[in-house]
Amino acid sequence: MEKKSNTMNNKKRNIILICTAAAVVLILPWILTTDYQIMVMNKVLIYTVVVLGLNFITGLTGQMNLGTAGMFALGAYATAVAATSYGISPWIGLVLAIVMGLLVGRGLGYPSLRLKGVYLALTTIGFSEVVRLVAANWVSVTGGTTGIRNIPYYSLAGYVFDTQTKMYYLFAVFVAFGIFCAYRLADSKWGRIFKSLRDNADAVEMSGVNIASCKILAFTVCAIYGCIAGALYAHFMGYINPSSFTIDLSTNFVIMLMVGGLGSVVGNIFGAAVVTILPEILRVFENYYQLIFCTIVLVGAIFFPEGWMFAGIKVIRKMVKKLRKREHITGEMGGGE
Amino acid sequence: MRKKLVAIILVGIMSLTLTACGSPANGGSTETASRGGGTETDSKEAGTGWSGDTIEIGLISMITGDNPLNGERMNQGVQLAVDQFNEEGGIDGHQINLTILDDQTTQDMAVTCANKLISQGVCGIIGPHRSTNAMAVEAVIEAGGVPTFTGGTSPKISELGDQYLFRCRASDSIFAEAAVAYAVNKLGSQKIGMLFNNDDFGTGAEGVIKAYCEKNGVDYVEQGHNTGDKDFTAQLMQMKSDGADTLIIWTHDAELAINARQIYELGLDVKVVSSPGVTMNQVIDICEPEYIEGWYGITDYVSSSDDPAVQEFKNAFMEAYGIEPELYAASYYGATVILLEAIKAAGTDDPTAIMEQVKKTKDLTLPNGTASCDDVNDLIHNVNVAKIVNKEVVFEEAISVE
Repeated sequence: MEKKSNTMNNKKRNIILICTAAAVVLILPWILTTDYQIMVMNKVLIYTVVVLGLNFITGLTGQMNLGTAGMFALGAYATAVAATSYGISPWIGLVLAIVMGLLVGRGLGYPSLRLKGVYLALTTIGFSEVVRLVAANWVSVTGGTTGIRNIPYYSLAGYVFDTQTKMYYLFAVFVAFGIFCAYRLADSKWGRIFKSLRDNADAVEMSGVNIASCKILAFTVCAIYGCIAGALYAHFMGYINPSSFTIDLSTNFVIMLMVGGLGSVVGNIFGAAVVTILPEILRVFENYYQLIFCTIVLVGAIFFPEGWMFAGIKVIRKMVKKLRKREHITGEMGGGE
Repeated sequence: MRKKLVAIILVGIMSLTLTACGSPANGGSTETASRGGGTETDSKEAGTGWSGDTIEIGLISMITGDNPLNGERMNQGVQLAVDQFNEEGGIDGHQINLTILDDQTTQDMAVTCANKLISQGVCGIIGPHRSTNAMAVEAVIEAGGVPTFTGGTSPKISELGDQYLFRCRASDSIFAEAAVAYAVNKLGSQKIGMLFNNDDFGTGAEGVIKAYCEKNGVDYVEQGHNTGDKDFTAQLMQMKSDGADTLIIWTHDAELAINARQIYELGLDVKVVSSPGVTMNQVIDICEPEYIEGWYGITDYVSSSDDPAVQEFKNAFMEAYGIEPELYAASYYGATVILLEAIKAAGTDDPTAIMEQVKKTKDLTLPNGTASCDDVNDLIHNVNVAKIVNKEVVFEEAISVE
């Protein structure tokens, strides 16, 4: 009976949390006064999609992927080339990006069966660099180093997502769908296998689970998320060129994952938000803002390896526990008088 | 249930495909369409008076990223021009306030910086420097309607057709044509060997030089490389076996310095004409004197020129910062002077009025040449040739291309 009421309470709490988050997302453009602020939020949303995908490889299965920029670039170029060279609708471009993610994920998943640790990381860096160099040198298709300009906006039944606010709501829908899928997948038997792969791959294999297909699935999901985010980015920026998709971008995505906490879907959103917004806030320190930001990230990595958000929650919980204990003691003392 | 779900998804995809025709692209966007740049803080009536006590201008610089030293010179050049105007009482009694933002030399951050500056209500923007970054911010500044001055030299910037985007350095087509013309006409080159970076900077020049050689019947061979390459011996040996008597090298600072060392080590007996990098301290300082002795560089600015505008700027810069200025400092100092002169002439900080005044710029003397705005918003049409003698940059001649 007590268990049932706990489940009900948890459900209620979740519904309240989801409704509050949805309300915050809906009213945010009214609170943010300038296009610049909404643009930064749009970047947060796009990067959240990438990090949600990266979480499956690095967060859940524990394999280092430093090639996310390559996946991001493939999605961006797939839709940008389709839209600008062939006049194909951005929505079909999105489908192309997903197909691209599927292919890349499977292609990258196979090496992951034989490679581990630093070797896998190097392979993914190599993949990302290959994508960037192809984009830079295949001039007839990608525009070479000059890139692709005039990438159209998304539009739906004549309604064009042509302002930062409109794009914000569109991207919020994508993020909501991405979070929903990520939660469902993380809580499914696949999610549990991913986590167990991180903890002890040999034990998983001994239990009769086909770990090859699981690893490939993790890479495929990551690549699909990355390519979708890339597609959104291309139509958001209106212009892409290969210099945007460097190893620095991949590293940034890993930092977002680390700041948010490995393996946590809510942490992914938090990480993307902190790593995108914090440097903008720190701009008041002028020439030193990057130095301060990097120091904060470094200190965070050393002292809060489980993610800043969870470190914060832990501290708050401890404080609440202490307060309750104190209240309890005071109450007992009061009762004794 | 599953069939129903599949049917609903298919109908959804089909309706999206049918209804979602491509929306207008950036260039043809509607009035409300914007990838940013809304000037919500700007409440002043267009074209009249001043919106506040100070005149707000912005600089998108390279404080971090690939070229922080160039970014620092850029900041110093712009700040010097602002300080000079402020010392003279500002413009119409209004002091100029400069906001500097770092774009990390990436297009993503350049767009963010442009949006931030426009949201703050600046009436003019200096930077971003890279051509690709300029192309990235182009849609934002056009939507925001703020005159912007880039030092990106790609010829493609002239094709953008953005009335708010001005170029404060000569186009690569001018640089490259000056380089090959100097090699052929002044150095008597018979066979040109072109070593170029495969990026936008290098390929832009390669196209111009190749076309010049074809047109004038000059023998031509070429070899490309990528940014970050460390070994050019294969390309250089190929040049030697092809019998090139003059090398034209068009690449970035790090690759240029490595090329210089390897040309010396391989003992190539050739004349060398280079992109501007060889005239700058960041390349000269990391080269032994013999590596670059007798090299020619095509550049915007040469400190040793006896032009009074150059000497005046050089002295002011050295007094302010204690170091000798180079092309980044000179070019962006020049861009700031053009912007501030336009604000003065417009008598307002309305960006559209300022843009119209910049378009009227004619024969304005600057350290990096004479500024006159043409149909495609290019302001500078001349370059200088310098020779490296014992690590000193010696002015040879100024070349003007119309």
